[in-house]
Amino acid sequence: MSTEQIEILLIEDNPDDAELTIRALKKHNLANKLVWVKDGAEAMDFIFAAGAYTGQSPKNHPKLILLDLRLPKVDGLEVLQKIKSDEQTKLIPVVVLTSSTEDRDIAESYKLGVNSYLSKPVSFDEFIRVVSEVGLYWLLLNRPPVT
Amino acid sequence: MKLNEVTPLTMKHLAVTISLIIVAAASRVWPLQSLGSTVGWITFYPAVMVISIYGGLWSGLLATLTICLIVIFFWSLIVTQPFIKNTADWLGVAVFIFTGTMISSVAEAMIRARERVKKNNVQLETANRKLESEITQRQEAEENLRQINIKLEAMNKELEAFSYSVSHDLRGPLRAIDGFSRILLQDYMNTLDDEGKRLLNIVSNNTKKMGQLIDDILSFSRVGREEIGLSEINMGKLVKDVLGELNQDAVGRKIKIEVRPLPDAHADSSMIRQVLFNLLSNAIKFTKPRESAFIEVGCNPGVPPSDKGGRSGSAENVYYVKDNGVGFDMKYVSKLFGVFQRLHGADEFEGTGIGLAIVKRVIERHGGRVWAEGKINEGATFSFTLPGIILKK
Repeated sequence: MSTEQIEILLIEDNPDDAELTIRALKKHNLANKLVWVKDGAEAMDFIFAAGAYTGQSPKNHPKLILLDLRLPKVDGLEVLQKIKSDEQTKLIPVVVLTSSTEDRDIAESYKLGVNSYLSKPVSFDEFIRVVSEVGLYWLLLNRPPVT
Repeated sequence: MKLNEVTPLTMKHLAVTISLIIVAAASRVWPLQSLGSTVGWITFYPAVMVISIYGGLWSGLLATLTICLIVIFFWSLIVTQPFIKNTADWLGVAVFIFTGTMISSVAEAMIRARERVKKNNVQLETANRKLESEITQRQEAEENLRQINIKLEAMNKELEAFSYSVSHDLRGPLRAIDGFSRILLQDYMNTLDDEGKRLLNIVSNNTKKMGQLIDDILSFSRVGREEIGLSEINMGKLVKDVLGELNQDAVGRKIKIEVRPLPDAHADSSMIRQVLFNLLSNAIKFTKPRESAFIEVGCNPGVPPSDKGGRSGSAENVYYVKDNGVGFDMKYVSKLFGVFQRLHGADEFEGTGIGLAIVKRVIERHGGRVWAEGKINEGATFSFTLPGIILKK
């Protein structure tokens, strides 16, 4: 794994959704420094520099985490909880991008400190629009705190 | 007094009668004999009384006559001096016979009364027992019903959860179908001929339609599963809010909307908002062919039900949304509120046919009713009621 600063961590178990997401981000040149992990456990390893990612600088945090909720091994909400309860990582913007529109999931995500919650639109156009806007907003418009 | 109802003279009665007569006669002889004729019938009256109370009319009469026979014919055989010595003593016999008969009759009447009471008691007891078992049966039936209800509710919940997760999980693959057919269209624009593009567009359009259907099932299912949170709703304000949201749909059209004064409702505000949204967007949609559309929102204040227990304000308000749109044939009124039921072709009016099903579900979950009246080409009126009382869940 390269040590250069990555911008987006995409946590998504569905390869089709991942491909659509990456394609949407690519259109705006936002996918150059993107890492895609396929389950919650790998996501935790990446964020906390453990497992396969041991040795990577734990300070090398992504600028944005796109998180799906239904994930194998470690559930998305648990990943969110770990990120937001750790002093080192709690300032990383986390956007939940999931197909769940359950009120319970939305409420729980916000309780855990999510920065934004989006449900994946079924329509391709909508999906591309939502993902592009999220990328543009958090990477270009939003001003993160200086760490 | 009917003779066949009189207490019968059984052997037991006979035995008791005879023994008591002997006791009475014996005690009259000794020790009372020494007191002379002044005590006369003193032991015989109680004897007749006891005998008739025990054995009824026949026993009493038998005792009376036997005693008379004894004192008239056989007394001198028992004791040395005769019982009847003068006319006054004969009068005593007559009085004894009369009184004995009376006592026997009264005693018989008493016995009969007692038996009647006994019989009534038995009947009462039987009836009571029957009632008790009926109550138990009813309680059991109620309990059964409750159990079945609980089971049904659980099954219903399960079904809801199932339909939710199924429709939910269908969205992922659908997104892929739509997405990748669009990518194909974009990336292979030059290699695809017109027919290929047309076919891919059909795929894309249908995924959109299916996506809409899935979203509708999900929102229908959500309306059934969500807890109802009751609050006071300013219906007038809510209607204005919803009309504001619907402004987009009315752009470029001549629509007169009249909102009459609406009483507050006690219901779940987000659900009622959806009801109003669906009804009003329908009204706007189905008046499209009209050059000038007219939509009226109002309320017929309900008559309070007879004031049982003094529950004031339990009136049922009838809210309605009326339009002068294309209307419908009353023949199909029963289909109107069904899931995915449509009375118009997809090319006439868009929509999947979930709106009114949601309206019905919301109102019925609030304990209200919903109905529609209409006539082809003359418009439609959709009415719903919301109880004014505080509902439990």
